[in-house]
Amino acid sequence: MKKWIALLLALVMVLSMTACGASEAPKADAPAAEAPKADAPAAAGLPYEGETLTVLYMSGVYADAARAMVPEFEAATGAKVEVVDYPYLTLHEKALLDLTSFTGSYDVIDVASQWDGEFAPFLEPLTDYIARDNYDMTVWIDNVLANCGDWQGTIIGIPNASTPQTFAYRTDLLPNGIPDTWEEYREALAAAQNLDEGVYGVTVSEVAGQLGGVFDYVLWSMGGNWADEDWNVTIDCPEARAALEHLYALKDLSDPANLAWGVDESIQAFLDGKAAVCETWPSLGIVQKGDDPAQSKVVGKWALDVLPAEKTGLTLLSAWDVAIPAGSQNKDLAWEWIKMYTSYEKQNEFYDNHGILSPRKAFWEQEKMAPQAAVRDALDTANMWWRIPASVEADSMINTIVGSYLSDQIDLDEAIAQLDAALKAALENSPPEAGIKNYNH
Amino acid sequence: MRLQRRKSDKFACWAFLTPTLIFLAVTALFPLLYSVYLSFFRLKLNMPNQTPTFVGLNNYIKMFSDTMLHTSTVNTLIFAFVSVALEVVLGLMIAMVICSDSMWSRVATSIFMIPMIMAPVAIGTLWRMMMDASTGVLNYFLSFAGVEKIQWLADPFMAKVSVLLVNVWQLTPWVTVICAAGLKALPQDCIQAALVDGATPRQIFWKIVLPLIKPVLVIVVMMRFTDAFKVFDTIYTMTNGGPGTATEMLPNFIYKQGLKYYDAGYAAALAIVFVLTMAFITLFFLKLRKKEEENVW
Repeated sequence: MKKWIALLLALVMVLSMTACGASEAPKADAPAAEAPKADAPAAAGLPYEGETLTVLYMSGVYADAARAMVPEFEAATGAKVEVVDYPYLTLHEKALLDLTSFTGSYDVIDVASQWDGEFAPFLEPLTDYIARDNYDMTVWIDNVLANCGDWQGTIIGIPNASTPQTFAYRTDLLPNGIPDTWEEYREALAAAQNLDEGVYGVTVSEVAGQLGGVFDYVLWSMGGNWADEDWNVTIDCPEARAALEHLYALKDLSDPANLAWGVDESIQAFLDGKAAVCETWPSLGIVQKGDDPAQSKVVGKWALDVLPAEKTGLTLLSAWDVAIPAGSQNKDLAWEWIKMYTSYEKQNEFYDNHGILSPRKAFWEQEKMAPQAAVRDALDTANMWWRIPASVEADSMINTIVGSYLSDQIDLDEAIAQLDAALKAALENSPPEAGIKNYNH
Repeated sequence: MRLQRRKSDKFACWAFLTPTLIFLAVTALFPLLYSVYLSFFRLKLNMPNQTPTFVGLNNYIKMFSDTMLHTSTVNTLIFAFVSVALEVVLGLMIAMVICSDSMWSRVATSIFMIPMIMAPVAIGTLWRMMMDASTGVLNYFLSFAGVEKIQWLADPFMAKVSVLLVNVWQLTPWVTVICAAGLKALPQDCIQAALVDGATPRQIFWKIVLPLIKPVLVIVVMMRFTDAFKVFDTIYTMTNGGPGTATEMLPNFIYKQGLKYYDAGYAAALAIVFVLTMAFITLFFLKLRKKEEENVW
């Protein structure tokens, strides 16, 4: 009897394991999944009762804004919403693993625009939804849309946040704002620096993951680039050397701890009155806390300005677009979420409550945004680095190499040689698709 | 009758074992073999519609010219040797002190366990904040002793020291607990006989305690050494490998190849070499332990 029970148990266990086989994943080149249901959003009552929507955002203000919208969305649709968030450093892998395996764990993903080209083959083109609902795409700032959500003429995501790299500065220490050249900028920082009172010239986020972007905007404004439009690497140029030398010179004008500082630490140093300039993303803390006496020692003594124009005036763009994974089983519901999240009302609310800067043109035409005219202007020219699959490897290597140079592990020539080799290797490992040009040229 | 009983027992054994074996084959053996297979191919997971291209030993040959791999290997070796040495010496010393059944010893052991049971990510984050050169409490307290600001995480050398110190802080208690258990199990008659013969404490330690506890120490060193090679979470949150490549370790390097650059073939080759190296190190230590046990008994 015992023998038969053992046999039966073993059989049940084997069967239960074989029953857990994965279903077939759709192919990446398969035609776009089923067309949107024309009547879905217009249905009476609560059309998505019982359905669950899972949305993925970067931790921080974007996820906070999403969570704040959940009750209203659930009341309007009847669906349940789960907001999942990861820090920037791990968001890419979490999203891409889901996308490439077509598991459909997420119905909406907030995509950093530098990942657009890499994610595009695994995202649902939104063209049909836009046409069906007459969704107005002209409301977005043209330059932001071109760099975020629009990939090779196909809309794969709707922009929901955009910030140009701007500098926050102390109006009492730099009454004339940020100068027009990097040399003048360093002179102004040196004049404003007062170590006896613990005030450095500048605070910069130079930890691995942030430093690459800092190098990029200096390089671009000086007229340099990673590569030409045909992807020939051009980093071994006088501009790249000058950009690296500029960053090295900033070491005398900043807290030595900068090399280990992320965005939070560099913003906090500025809010504590320990730096004349803060080179970071204003919407990630300064805008929200700068004028709050409980959190800032520079209330009424700070402003935002564009970075030194030097030759090109180009700055770095941080932009995010909400997209629907091809593997999602709730695409219609996901589209409803995207429409609400990117609506004018919500974007305004997100700015008021979370300091998120909207890519909508009308948002910037409001009176309350007038003091930030410089930020709005920068959005017309701000640039993003490569948006192809090689982007992550290239950016990661630039972070490492520039960090090695600034911490005296390698010299300037070695840094340039390593940058050149790293960019070539990234392009060789993940070559851009035929016909795609490097617009960042 | 006995033969039939034996056959039925054997059948029952296999019936119970089969599900486990299938489970292990599916979850461990198959992925391992697939990794070996994958290591001979070029496959970028983030490139749509890409099929694996056979590249022979290219992924393995690439390792010889990969300077970043060499840097991370050297960093990992330094980290493993220094951290394990410090942990074993400190762990054994503390174990000698707390090795008793007294109340204070149990309380001290419980307190020592705290770093060991904390999540590595929390440890990395906390130490990152405490080691901030400008706002961290570590420099604040050191300033009372007149110590100048130390750039714990921004200076390449100090960043290496910092991740070592945190690892030692986190895992010395583990070594202490194991060593304390080993010390308690030592035959007391040897020590008492030595005391009667007039041996000094130093002589007792070097001539009796250390030789007797060597087999335990070998296991401790083996486990800590293989663990040190796998260090990831704490360093990822503390420095993310920086500044530059100062704290870039092998697991972080392999993680980047696999989950940031999606180079599945190269990551698989790296993982295979890594696993084989760990297996050889483990074998070496197991042989050493056997030898030590033979010497003791």
